[in-house]
Amino acid sequence: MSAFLVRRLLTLAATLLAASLVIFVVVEVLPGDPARTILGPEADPEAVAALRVRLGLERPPAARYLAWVGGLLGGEFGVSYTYHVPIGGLLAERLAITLPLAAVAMALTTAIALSAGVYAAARRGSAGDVAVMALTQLGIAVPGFWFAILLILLFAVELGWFPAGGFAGWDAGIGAALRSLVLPAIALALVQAAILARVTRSAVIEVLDEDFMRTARAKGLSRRAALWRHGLRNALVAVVTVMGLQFANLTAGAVVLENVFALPGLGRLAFQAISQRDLQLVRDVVLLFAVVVVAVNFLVDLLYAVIDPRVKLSA
Amino acid sequence: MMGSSRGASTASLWVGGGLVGVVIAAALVSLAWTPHPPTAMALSERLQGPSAVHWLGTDHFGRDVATLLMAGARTSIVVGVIAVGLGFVIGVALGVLAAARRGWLDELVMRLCDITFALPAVLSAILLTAWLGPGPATAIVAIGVFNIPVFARIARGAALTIWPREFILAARVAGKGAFRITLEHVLPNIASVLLVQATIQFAIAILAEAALSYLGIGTQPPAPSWGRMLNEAQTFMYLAPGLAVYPGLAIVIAVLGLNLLGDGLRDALDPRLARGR
Amino acid sequence: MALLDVADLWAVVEAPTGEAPAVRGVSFALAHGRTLGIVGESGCGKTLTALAIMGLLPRGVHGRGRIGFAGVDLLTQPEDTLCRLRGQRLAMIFQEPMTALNPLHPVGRQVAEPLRIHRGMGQAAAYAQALRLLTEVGLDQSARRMSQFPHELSGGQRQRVMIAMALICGPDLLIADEPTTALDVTVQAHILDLVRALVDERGMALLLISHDLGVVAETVAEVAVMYRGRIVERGPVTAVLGQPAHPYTQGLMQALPRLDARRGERHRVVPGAVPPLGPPEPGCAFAARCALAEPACRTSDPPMAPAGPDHTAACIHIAAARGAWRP
Repeated sequence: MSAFLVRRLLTLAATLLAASLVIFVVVEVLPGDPARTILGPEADPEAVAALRVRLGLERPPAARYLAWVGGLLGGEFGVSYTYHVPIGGLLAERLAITLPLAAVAMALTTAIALSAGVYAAARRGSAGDVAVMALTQLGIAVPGFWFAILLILLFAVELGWFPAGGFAGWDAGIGAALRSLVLPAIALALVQAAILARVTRSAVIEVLDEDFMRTARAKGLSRRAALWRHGLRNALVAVVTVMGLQFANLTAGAVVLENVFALPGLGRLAFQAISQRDLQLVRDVVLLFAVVVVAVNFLVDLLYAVIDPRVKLSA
Repeated sequence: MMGSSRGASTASLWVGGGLVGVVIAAALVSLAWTPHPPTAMALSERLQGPSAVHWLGTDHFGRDVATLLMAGARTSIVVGVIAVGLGFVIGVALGVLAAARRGWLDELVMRLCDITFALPAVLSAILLTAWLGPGPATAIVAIGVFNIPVFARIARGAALTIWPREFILAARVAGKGAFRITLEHVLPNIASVLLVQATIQFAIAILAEAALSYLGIGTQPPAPSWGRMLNEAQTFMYLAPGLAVYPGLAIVIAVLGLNLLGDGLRDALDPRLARGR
Repeated sequence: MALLDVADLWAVVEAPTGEAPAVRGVSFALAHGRTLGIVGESGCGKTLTALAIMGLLPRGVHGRGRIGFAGVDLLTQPEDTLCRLRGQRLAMIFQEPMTALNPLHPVGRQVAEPLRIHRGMGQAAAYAQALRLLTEVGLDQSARRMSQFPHELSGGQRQRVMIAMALICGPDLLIADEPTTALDVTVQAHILDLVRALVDERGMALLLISHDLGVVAETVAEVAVMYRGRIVERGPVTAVLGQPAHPYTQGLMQALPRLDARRGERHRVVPGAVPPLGPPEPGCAFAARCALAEPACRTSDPPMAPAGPDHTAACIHIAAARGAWRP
């Protein structure tokens, strides 16, 4: 394993440690008593106090933090106060919706953005370029959740091609499950695709002006072939950076869109956990979001090294 | 080539300014006059289509949609201005301070910015709701907090390019302190960059306010809000699809206008920035 | 028949204020196996002339006139014909080998690429030939370097890679644009020796673009001096550099640092600077900087006139100029 990889893994661990501390502190500060959440507002104060002791809430914060993190590392997530099921299973179940949703959305974003961005860059200044730029400007201004509602109006209410909301479940077959993810993924992808298309366009334009592109043409490659063989990979360095940031945006956008489509994903779980004051669940869900974001950043760093041989040296 | 891009930037300035002007005008007019009283309900007239009396129809309480849109513009602008203003003042102060002092303070401010960025903004807003309860104040604080690191980074970055300039050196030789130099020389020189960013952030704030109100943790009824209207419209989507269209269009007009205005301002105020894009 | 026959070539830059010609009616011919240098200060149009021949003028610059290559006019050929010629019969090496090589591809792949494009060769065969050529151009440890990236090589090594890449299909014409300018002086000599040896051995024609009279004197047989988009003097290297007829060439010669210069003697430069690009004005382009300029110089552009055997210059005082500038 290279020093590069070790260094990145250490950074990843340190970031997660910092994130877990911040999340623990924030949730500590939040009002609400888990014991009271479990027993209900009319419960006997003595019973609440007893439960607090049993749940370990009377221990000092440091001990509780260590117990929490230790439990997570040991695969022991505890039981949700409000759902009365093991949190580990609950998270896995919800992640099985949010992760595919984000992945499909990211794939859509990438496909749309790269083709539109490269198209516009290759025809800089043409009517096609102007049209792409205008559309992306519009795409950035459209709220994702409103676009989602429009999609529902057209494809669910009018045409009936896709469900207006809810999740068929993976048990219903991959086709049915994916069908419930199509509209949310499109809605999620729109804004990000508009942003990424603009980034791609300027990255490609920058690369087109590089000396090595002229060399590629001097070898006898056509404009198009030079762009595909030599230009795109160089432009990808900038594009991948933004894609990493966008994946974080996509998970955040999923929180809103899962509510639009009533998808029982991680975002909806976070929303519900907070409104029900299920603090232990809140802590784990928010940390899981952080893990996803940090893991994606780690992958982006690895991708850099794959794309650009110079990265290993400078790291 | 250069001529056409200059033309495009002038166009964005005018189109953007025009769209923003329409939204501001609607908000201002709504203070004095609306087609119907904003909270007047008429259940007998619920879910009507557009007509001469109700230009854009009525909602499920029989309220006039055009009136609600005008009043909603007010909410968007107020939340946006306060939230961005909050982020602007605190963020810029932190940013220019970090640039002036450098060292551990700079490091601390930048790391704090990193942490704020690490949590998805919507999640932070929801966490905040658990603390403050739903309402416009929550939306303002959540959006404002998200804006602090944005302005801190921009202000710091821009200020760092100003500090090595000769006129700053001259001011230091003349015995001026870091505070006065920041006030008299740094801030005026980074003002245009900050103004452009504020325009863009304002657009983001309007989108965020709409999303939070849609989720039910921003503006609360009966206060009019575009996001809230969309939430309610979704319930009656089958009966009155138009209700789900107009508030979204209003958001698009405001956000598109602000983004175009920001692009145009950037090109107009600083040609060097425009080329860097 | 000449391999390359450039006739009345113009390169016109589109600017917001209108069109500005950067190359103005350049004509020259180059036969198989011959070598020609084009010298001049930066901005005189020599690189645009080279790029026009390659058909790679930058956006917003248009070529007009005729560029005959092996009997066809390159300026009227469709793009796919040019693509077939480039890298195969016409090749070019550039000034800055760091940025001219793709930073993300191993050098072996970049050298082999023209074979894959033009000859449809498989990877193994193309790489084998690339390795042979890299060894021939003197890249040490060439086998190991095949899989290295440009940033892992020195400037001289990178330029050897560029040369191998340009030569791999055996072109008829090699255009070298300031091939040694970005290199250390010691490396410069090695690269020039290499280029000269390869050109001799393979019978290629060489068009060398340089601002450095020393480089030109060592490498080519004939030279053309360009000033503001025009050729102002042309002839055998020995004649042009030995007995410069145009005041501008003389100025360039005077500007050369000399080992035999007497202590205290001031290093001379051509007075003034190349004026910025703009619409052409009447008269000799050099008149504004010329010590010999007289009213006639400012009214009409002097035609090329003989200054010796195969030696011509565009100046109305060829004879007088010699006298005035002889040290």
